[in-house]
Amino acid sequence: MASEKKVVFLRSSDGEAFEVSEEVISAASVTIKGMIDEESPSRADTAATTTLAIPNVTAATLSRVLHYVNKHFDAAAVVGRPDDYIFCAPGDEHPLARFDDDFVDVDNDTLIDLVHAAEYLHIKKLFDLTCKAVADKLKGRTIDQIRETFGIVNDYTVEEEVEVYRENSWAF
Amino acid sequence: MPCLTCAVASPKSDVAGSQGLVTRPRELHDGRRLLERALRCDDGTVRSHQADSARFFPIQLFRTRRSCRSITRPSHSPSPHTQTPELTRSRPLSPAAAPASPQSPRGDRMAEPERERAAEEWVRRKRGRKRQGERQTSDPMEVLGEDVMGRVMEFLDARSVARCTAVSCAWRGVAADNRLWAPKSRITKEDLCDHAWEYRFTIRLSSFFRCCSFQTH
Repeated sequence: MASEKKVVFLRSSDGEAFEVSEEVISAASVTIKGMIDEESPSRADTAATTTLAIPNVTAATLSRVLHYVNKHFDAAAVVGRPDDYIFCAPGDEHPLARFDDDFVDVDNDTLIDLVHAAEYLHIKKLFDLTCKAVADKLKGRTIDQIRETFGIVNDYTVEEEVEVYRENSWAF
Repeated sequence: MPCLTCAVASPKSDVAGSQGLVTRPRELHDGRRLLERALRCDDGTVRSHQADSARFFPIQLFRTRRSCRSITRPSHSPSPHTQTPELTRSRPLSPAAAPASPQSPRGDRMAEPERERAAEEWVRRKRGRKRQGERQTSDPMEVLGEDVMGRVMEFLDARSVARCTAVSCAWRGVAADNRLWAPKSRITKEDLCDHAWEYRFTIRLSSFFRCCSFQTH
């Protein structure tokens, strides 16, 4: 019995169910931990597995999130590894840094979906990672590049725009 | 402050101007030229003045805005020249074209529901409300909301945040927020000195000491 891990199923908005270890996901996501705690008295110690509905995350995004969660929060994999990047020796990078870089190397819509999911599920590490990725997309770009990247419509009047340019002229 | 006629005619040239396809003619008013110099981008094209006509002809504005969007949306396609049929409508600014009225060519063909939609959109924009449900813009400020974007901007350097203020009104609201610019969250010169110090002494030296200890053992 002890060898068997408890498992929960997460159902995405489009009805696909994903299996994940309860221990891992509750370490990662505050929201799901809350859901499981709410759920637990009702199911007592029956063998039935829980299925939690995640209504505003699509299957594609949820599978990405779970991939991340399994990499970062699976105790067996994490054990004995310093979790903070800064404690690593300067020479060798954090073992998951490469994974993180690849993970957020996606197009804008996917990235924004990931930020949404991380925010909704309260996965702080993922939220910070994805926010940082969005920030990297803004960093060092000109205004027109930013507008083009995200399809933003310029809604300034000319006076306002000149004013904005003037007061931050050092940055342009 | 541009004169009225320029302001009316400007959206047309700007649609093309923002694509960098049409060169601007010389005969412009002085004030207009000054303004343009102030707004000129690095690549020599002129920033859009479309918003300027809003005060005069809101409906006109939205027609041009929609045509802007229809041009910019397929901008992933390799060459912008594939969209020339759309661009031909946007003539370069000339004195003859200047007194264009809001009921100019396309205006008559504008269907009634479309006009209503434009008006509705204008009202919505005036109230500063978010367009919801339509995910055609991927503006992160609309999609993610201001709190998340504030968090995103905490990861940016000061120069990039200052640039973000000029992207659009909503961005300015977040990027010019005082909380973001409070001395704690923004890196100032003093902070940089501290960090350099810390980096040298904690990270560099710790590895140095580790090497030493390896040698002695």
